[in-house]
Amino acid sequence: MTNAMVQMYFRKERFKDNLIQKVYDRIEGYNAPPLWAIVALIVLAALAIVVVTAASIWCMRRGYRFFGVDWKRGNAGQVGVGCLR
Amino acid sequence: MIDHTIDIQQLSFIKVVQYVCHYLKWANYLFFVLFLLTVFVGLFINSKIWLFFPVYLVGVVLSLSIHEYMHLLVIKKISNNRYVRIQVNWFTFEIVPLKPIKGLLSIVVACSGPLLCTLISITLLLLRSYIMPTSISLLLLAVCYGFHIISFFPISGDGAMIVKGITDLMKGGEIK
Repeated sequence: MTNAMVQMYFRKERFKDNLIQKVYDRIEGYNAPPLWAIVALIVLAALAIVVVTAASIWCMRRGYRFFGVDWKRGNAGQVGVGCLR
Repeated sequence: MIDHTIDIQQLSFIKVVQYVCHYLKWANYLFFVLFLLTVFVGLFINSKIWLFFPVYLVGVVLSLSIHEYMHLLVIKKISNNRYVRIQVNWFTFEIVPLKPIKGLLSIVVACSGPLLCTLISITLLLLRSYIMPTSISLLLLAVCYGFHIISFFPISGDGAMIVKGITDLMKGGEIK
């Protein structure tokens, strides 16, 4: 029983050490993302933006008012640019 | 809270930085919590903790200032607006052109700010990957600038303006 508990304790400590080492390595940049990962990230973000914008316009055409923009009177009123709304 | 109309010619970059600092005074709780989390991670890995302060300043204040100043610059260049309305409260930093900007021009105005910040972020990421692969400050800086990509989504003012611009174009018959 005692031996099993000791083994469990060692396993837990080893798991913690591995995890900390992985976080440390990742943050210190030893596993810096390659070019394809950065390009993939940008492409995914661009896709997400296109999909969300298209979905918003699709919803607006079906009568939903959207952050002050309306399909029926889309030109009326001016939306401000800024970081957050 | 700031809500006033101002001549666009009087708005220099320093003035925009002042507005951003005022905005951060209100919205600082969120940024401060993020900053504390970052510092906690920094302590955990025992790195150079003092580097986070310039990173915080350059990453948050300068990126927001560049973002807003680009909007102002493009509004000044491509539209006939002489006055803009600036609204700053605890959540919103908004620049409203008094004369409405429509169609493609509104898309250009809305994209200018976040696009520049995103490009800076990509440049920093590439710089980190190929020149300084162990720099944690550069990574944090890239993340700070990269957060501006959220502005392209319609939940923010820029995204709403892009949606409005596309709506104008579609209704005007230029896009079917």
